[in-house]
Amino acid sequence: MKKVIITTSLLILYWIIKYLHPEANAAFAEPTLVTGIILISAYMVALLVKRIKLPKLTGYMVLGMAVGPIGLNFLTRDLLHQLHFLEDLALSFIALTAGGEFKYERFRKIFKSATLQLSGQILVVFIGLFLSLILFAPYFDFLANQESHMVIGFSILFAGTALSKSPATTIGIITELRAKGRISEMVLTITILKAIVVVMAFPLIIAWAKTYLIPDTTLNLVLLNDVARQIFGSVFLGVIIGFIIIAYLKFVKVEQSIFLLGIAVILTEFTNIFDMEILLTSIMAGIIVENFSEKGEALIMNIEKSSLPFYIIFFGFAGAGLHIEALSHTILLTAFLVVARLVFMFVGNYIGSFLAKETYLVKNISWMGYVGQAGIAVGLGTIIEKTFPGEIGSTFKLILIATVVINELLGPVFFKYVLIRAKESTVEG
Amino acid sequence: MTSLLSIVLIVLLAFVGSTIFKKIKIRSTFLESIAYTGMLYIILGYILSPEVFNVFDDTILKNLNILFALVLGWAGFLVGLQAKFSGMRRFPSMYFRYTVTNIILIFFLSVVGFWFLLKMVFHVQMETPNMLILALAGAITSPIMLAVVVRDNRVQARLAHLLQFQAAFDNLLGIVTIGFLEIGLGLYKQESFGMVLTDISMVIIVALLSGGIYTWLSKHKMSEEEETLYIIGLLMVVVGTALYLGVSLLFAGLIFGLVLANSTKRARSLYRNIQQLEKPMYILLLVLAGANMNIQPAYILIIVFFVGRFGAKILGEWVANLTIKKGERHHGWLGIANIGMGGLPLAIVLDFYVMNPGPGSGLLIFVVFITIVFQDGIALNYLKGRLIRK
Repeated sequence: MKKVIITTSLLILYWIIKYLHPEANAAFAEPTLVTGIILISAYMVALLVKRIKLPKLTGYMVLGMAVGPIGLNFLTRDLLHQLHFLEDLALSFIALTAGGEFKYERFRKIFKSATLQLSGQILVVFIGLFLSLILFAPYFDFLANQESHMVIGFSILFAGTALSKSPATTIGIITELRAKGRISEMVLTITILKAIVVVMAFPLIIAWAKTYLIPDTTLNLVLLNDVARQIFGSVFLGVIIGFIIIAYLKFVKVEQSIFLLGIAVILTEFTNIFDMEILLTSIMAGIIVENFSEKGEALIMNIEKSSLPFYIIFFGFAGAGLHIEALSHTILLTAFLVVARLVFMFVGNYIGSFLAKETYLVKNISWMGYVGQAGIAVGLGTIIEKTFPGEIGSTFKLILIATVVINELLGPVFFKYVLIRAKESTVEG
Repeated sequence: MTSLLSIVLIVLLAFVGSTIFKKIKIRSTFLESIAYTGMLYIILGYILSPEVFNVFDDTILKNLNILFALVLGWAGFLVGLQAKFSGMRRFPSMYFRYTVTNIILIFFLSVVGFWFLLKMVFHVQMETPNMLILALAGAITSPIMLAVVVRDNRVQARLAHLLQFQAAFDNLLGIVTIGFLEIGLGLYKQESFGMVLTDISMVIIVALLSGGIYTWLSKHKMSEEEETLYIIGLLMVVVGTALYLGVSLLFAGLIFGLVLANSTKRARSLYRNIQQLEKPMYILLLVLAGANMNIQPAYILIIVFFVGRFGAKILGEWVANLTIKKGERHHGWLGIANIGMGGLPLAIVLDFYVMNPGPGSGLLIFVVFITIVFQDGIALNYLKGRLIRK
């Protein structure tokens, strides 16, 4: 009851203020006020949904949807745009933590199993979705009227984006449940590896799809050069920043939280300025710190301690930014993509785990830890939209976002179930 | 360069500056006063501003207003959080009478002094709101500088007690006064009385509500992460409301802090937990002040503020001494010890600047800055030279 009263009173308060003064007195007054309200209300909703055994991340997204453009519209598209830097900042923090969770020693122990599962997931999901889309294309409005080379091009893109998995959701649930154990370590390690592989491979996937979607396009050196520059540039920047963090931890030591905030800002801004991939850069920086410094683990713990507002902002804004209306236009294809991805994910993970002679839980349940999609998928959709301007790109993005909406809502719930089933959660609920 | 990257630059440069400064042994009292009051950060901010290297251009400065707002709200919040009424009752009532009389006297003496010097002696025009804000800033004493000097030099206990109380309490009074000055300034800007009153009441209600929410939540066990989240979130609500309605951010933060200090048992532990944020916030405040400073050949205004404040402080302290501490032995020149200004006067002029940006309010930052450098030096010299010997 307390949580409902607090949330309601904050929302009513916003209404009264807007009623008294439709226009703010100073720039940034509204973003400050709305962000404050979201931080508190989203957490209250998260505590409420926790009671019905749902993850807190779902609560943040639900509140985001409620106050976002499709709900009460406190958090308008304009405000979302103004506050985009906060989202990026949160993402770099989360990715830094994700990288920090990647321990080489641990990876060595599960190398065979992780590699097999990862390969199984990537191959089966990509090939399975690619072929089934070509096979069922006549049943979907969007693909039915396209020529065959266009169908192939779209199938490549859909199958490619289906590979993405949100490290933020994984790390968010693990942090929330303070999960410790083999399954959580394995899911996290594979998720991080997958993020790196997908981000690195995606420019190639786009280049390949282009040869089908845009007439007279072939894979050429200029394109490959661009891809290589982005990938290796991101990795290089991540490594440099990782070593800067290590040097700071060794020689300066003081005021670590401020320093980390600074690093997150540098990551956000530099990747924007130099057109790098923020996720890849941040993950690399986290991996370097964790694996090349004795104090890396303490630092990652430090980040986790101050990460709560960042998770709320990232997932709250993600919820507000969801285009639920996209679902109604593309319901059949969306449903197919979601269900087919789940099926192929299970099959791919099962085959990989079977070959690695894994336990029952890993073979049959752990696939549910790879469902959530968020930032990377939307980012990939944006890249596609920019690459294919006009109707092709925007329709594609619409369908992609619709699938991400569902996967983003299912992901945290599924992964929480996995961790509770594996008895790796150390907190109640 | 983007706003975010600029912030990082501010913080990193500030760290480098402070680390280097700590390694240098300072023998000059004047330089020591600069170190105590963090003036180097202001200079750093100014060097990076559009006036010098243009690292922070006008667009960035405009975007940084959100940080300004939070830092100012935070400054008010910390003052409020330390003002626990039950704890304040332990001080002799004479301390309160003395400080209240003192700040009122100094404020009015400053207004009269500025008016006389500007209009009658130098024939210079100055807008009334700017003059009132300058007088209020002038009435404040630096608690940090006094505390450091008292600690370092073992000032006589009873005197140290009074000085520290006065410096701390006049900070609280100063912020309350700026809240009420808003009403007057709102009317001066020809807003309706009802509207001004509604806005300030709304901010007070939001601050009370936010304090109430925190107190309510703190009745149950909460982790350190949750505590930080609640404070940051609620402070953003309070500051956002004040910014939205154009009310003093310091005042809004103070009310929120006061509610927390007096309604939850966790106030003390809360202060300890969030103290780590105090230093970086203060550094940001100083650097942003420097970046927004509008340096003009305003020698007359600086002289007027310097002389007017000096005179008002000495006279105000002297009168307060005579009237409140009847029969007690006192230091006739005690006012000099309280000449030190510290960070709050800057926060007051910045608070005014955020709500009324422009060359006039930007100039106030510069005037206060220059005065701080010199008057803090004088105060430090006097404390070391005379009071300590006694």
